Amino acid sequence: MSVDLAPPRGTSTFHLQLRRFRQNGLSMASVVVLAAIVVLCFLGPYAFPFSGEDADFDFISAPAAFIWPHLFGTDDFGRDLLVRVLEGGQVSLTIGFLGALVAGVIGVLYGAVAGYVGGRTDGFMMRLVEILYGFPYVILVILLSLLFGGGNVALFSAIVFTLWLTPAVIVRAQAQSLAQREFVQAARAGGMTGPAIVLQHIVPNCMSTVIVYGSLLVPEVILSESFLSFLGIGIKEPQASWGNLIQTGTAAMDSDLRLLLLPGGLLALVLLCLNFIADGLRDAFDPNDR
Amino acid sequence: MIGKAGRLTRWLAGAALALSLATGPALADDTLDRGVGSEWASLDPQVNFDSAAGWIMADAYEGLISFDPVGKIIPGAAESWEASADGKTYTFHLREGLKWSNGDPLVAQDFVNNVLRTLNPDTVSEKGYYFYSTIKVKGAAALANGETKDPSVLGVTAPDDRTVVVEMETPAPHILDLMGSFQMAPLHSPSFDANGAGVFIDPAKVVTNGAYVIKEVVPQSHVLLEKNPNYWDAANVKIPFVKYHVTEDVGTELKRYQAGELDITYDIPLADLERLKAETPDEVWVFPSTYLIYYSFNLSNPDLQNIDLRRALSLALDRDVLENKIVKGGATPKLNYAGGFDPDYKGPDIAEADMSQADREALAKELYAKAGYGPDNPLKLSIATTVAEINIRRAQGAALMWKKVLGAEVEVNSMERKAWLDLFYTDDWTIFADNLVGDFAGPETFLSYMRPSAEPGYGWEKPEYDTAMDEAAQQPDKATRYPALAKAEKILLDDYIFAPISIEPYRHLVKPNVKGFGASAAGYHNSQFMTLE
Repeated sequence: MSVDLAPPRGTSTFHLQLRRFRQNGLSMASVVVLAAIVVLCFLGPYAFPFSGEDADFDFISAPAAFIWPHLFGTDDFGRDLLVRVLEGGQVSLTIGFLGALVAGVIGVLYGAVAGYVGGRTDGFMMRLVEILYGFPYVILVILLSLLFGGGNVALFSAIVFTLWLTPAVIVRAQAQSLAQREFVQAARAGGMTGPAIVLQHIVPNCMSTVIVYGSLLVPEVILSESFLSFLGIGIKEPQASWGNLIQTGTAAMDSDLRLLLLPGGLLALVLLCLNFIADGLRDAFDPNDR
Repeated sequence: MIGKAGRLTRWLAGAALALSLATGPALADDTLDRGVGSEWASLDPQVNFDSAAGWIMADAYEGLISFDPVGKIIPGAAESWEASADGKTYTFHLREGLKWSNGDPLVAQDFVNNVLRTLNPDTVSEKGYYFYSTIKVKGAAALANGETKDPSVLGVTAPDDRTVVVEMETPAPHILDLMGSFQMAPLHSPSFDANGAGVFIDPAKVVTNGAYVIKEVVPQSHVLLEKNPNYWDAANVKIPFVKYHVTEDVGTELKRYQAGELDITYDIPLADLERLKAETPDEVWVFPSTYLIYYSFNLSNPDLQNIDLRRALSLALDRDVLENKIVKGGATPKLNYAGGFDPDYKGPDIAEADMSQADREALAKELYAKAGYGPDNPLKLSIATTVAEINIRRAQGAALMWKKVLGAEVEVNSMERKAWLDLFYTDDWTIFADNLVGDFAGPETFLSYMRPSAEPGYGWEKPEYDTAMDEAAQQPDKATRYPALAKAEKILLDDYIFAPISIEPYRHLVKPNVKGFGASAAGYHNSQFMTLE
């Protein structure tokens, strides 16, 4: 606690926030677990002499006996379950982080511009967001799949397309109040251009909100991907993703629970970790919010 | 917890007892309860084209011949028959004293009227082709396409009340397979003329000649049949009532079977098949049908025009592993097209049938490399299949085998059944997860479908095959015809225009107290041969 009483010189708000976050045990544990899962998913498959799309017909539906090379057994086509789950994790995590990043960037810029410019432009931009909110999600995904001929691109664009709206609304509200503040008016009086003010003053000042919301966005995107793949309009076999692995697992739930537990457990773990991290970030950035 | 569970069990037992009392006759021992899958498409004997409804029809109507529990042809309404020396004319002699269920005498003209009504374009029956294509009855084509309305041109005649004569343009030893109730149920003209086609679903008015009469028809629920006292063999019909239940969902059907509501099911869920086989082996009936599965190669695709490549793809499939370890639906793997249905037919297998699977795979790799493909230049194909779970599983398994053995990159493209059917004629496919349901358990129904003139969708040009098939069609009986058909099949298999995969089986659960159920490839299971013990 002495650290709080006598902060070292030159400590910025950000450092203080970071320190508050580090003191949150649950969040830090989540960071460690999440990092471990990410490393395992991306490096793990290299340890095996086969990929998740190679079938071993001598070991069809092998049980989880923890014997090399099929540690968690194989699925009913003879493909190694652990490798498939790890490769599925690569897909799900990549889409999750990339999707959240892209949706976040689009949303923040859109919201900052709308909030700063205000007036008629703001009204028009926000009505557009509201119209887009009205589109039924699943129908939109099906339409985009038709447009892009299905596959990962369609899935990714559908997720980004629907998820950038909320950050846009949040940032717009912040930007609106920031635009009236003295330092922004001073910048404007000093001859700074609109785009420069948005990028250098508005966006950085929204950052803490954006980071908190972004950390909630990642699990949302992962869940969307899994949900769409579960329905069969996301990642297609033989490529694995947690969504379609869980779907296969559900079909065999009565006879072989292992096929559901491994991908389902990992997905649940990742989602919990991300939510704890988001929780920790929110507490760190905005202690008054509790 | 234990006490609670015990009470619950007792409660459930009580509820089940109450339910059984309430349902009454359905669970009583004098009723045979059978599942028919989806609702019967039609109960009109000249129109119905649905094999499950065919069971109801086979109980209610009797053709000239009948099928015993194992699918053997036995005398039906006709007690005997003979063929002319050239095999083109068949004469059937009806039993003495045959009666309709209302007591009217059953005469030979009733069978002629069946063919006339089936062929009449106004009936809109899909079954006309049996008489002008599967067998070529004189005058049938002209009646079917509306060229003439004159019934006297038809080659099916009734010279007297107990004789039916069928005259054909070419010999057809498989004619007997088409003389059962599905194609040759007699038509009771007085009731039909008075009431129109509605008579067949009106229990008060319908008149039948089979072992049972239709007593009750409840759409989306059941058809109840009652023993027909006027049936010639009524003394040997042991079960008084037969109830056919609509069992749309196969999972629900299994639960109803396990609850004792059904004696014979329509199908068995694939996911439960292995478990049921282990737990109740004598209740699980899985036996070959006439449902043939094969993967067709698109001959207009530049890659697949190479016969070495087609051969490599066919050889790389380990059909045994695919059907028995991956799909696990009880299908019989096969290496030929028309064999395995009629045991009398000794047809050829693909040339490599004697090799071990390891040798076949080695040869496949060699042929694949010879065709110019390798790790740097993998073959890229897609399998077009329907969305049915079993078909997707099979296609995914085949794709994985092609990847493992050859290194080919094959994707599975599943679509709705109608889109899949339409795709075949667009030529926009590379490998087609094909199937064919034979009209009877003989080689001819399959081989004649593959004639380039019969199915242009394959884009296969082979005059030799047509010639060989024409030659076979001239042979009057099975003994001479089957070797000729085998010769034609050899020509077909040597071109590797498809990879034969398997014969999909019938799957039924049958209660142990039901006797007289047999494994019939023809798929008829007449209730009259069954008993309840």
